[in-house]
Amino acid sequence: MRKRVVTAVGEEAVSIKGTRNGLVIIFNPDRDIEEIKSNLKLKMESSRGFFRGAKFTLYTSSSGGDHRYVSELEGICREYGLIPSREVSWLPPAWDPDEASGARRKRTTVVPIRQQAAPDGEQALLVARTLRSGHRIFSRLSIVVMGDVNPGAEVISEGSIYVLGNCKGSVHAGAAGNLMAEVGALKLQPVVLRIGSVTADTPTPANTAAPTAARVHRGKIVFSRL
Amino acid sequence: MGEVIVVTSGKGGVGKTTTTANLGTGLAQLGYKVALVDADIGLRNLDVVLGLENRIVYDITDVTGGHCRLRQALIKDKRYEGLFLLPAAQTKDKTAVSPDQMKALCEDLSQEFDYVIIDCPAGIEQGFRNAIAGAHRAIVVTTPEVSAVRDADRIIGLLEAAELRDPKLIINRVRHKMVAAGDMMSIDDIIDILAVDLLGVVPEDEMVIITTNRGEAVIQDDRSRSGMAFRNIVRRITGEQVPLLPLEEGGLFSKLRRLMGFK
Repeated sequence: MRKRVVTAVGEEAVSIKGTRNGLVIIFNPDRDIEEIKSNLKLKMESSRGFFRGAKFTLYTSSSGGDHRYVSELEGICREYGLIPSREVSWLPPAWDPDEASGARRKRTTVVPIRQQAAPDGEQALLVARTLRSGHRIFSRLSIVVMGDVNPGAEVISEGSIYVLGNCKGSVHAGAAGNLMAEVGALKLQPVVLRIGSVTADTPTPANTAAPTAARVHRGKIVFSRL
Repeated sequence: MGEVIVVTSGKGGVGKTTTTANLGTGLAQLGYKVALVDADIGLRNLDVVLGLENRIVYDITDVTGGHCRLRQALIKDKRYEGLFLLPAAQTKDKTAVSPDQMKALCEDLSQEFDYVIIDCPAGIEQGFRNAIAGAHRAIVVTTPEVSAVRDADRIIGLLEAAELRDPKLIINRVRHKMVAAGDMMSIDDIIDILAVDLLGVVPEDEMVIITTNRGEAVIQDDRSRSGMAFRNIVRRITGEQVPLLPLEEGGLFSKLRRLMGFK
């Protein structure tokens, strides 16, 4: 019989802890993978983008558990804008006051998953040149353009798109339907701006002087300063 | 060995042929030996602009097809000793010449001439690929219109892909008054998008139409502002440092003010 270690964070399939460096996401490998996934999605969904941009590390509450689905879980977290990082760590208190007082309590034992499916940070395709009219870049990763995106050029990413320059072309972030993707540019004035299935009615923000990001908020594309 | 320069734009009607004729005439005025090549096979114009239409015997496809020698097809200009034209064929199309043949032709011409200037057809298809095949340098002509600038941008991308780096830009048909009123793209707007070196700015000028219809080049007209602009561009091509022409009409009052240091 497999020994079951019950964590202090309870019987939940997934629990999320905030630390100084980022989020620790602990999943219970004894649960069914579908349950873990749906639970994780539910938690991400209810956070309403609050976790976006946060670094995270996956932990499992049992060392003997099944780690096969790690990359899948990590993928879900990435979809909601979280960034995998090894800097985030979480250690349960070594000395338990309850234990000292004699009361036996279940110890919290969680172990980090060191073999991350992907390297640290968010992976992106780096385009170190200006994209001129007629150029088309597509990537399943996020795209970072070190240069301008001129009118007539197209940038399509299943992740986010960042332009370190003037973005005047047509950009489509979250092309596979990821509404958490964003588009950022030092100067954002695209001809066509799409995120997921949402197309901006007015693709240019009122003030183009400052670096700007575009995100989907309640089914519409909104702009905010970067 | 001479330099092979292609004059291109992507969009039609921005002034490639006019620019080619003027640059050729200007370089010949300075005493250089210049060959102008009309690569716009099927839509021959350069001969008309230069007023040499009635002298054509052989054309570019006759040379590449081996029907005549290169010397036989070259037409000498009426006014300038060092200026020659290799005309396009009117009855064939762009597929009559291949990029390799053009490369060999440019190679031959550059042995004999100081400058070989190729008038590129509009578009990005075979005609464009032929025209750029043998070029060492490229001049991109555009007008201050959104469509022309976008096509120029595409062309610059294609030139870069064809290893023709650092093309130079000529902005043609600029109307200073419209730019000042904010109704026309300014030089800065265009440079901002295209991000290439500016070779010159040519103001809109009725004299261009008048001289072209006569089979002359506006660069021969000493008083016109567009002729002045083309003369400056020619000097820049030969390596001279020439400041940009002020765009506004040179009235006596504004000249006086400039002299006195206001503005």
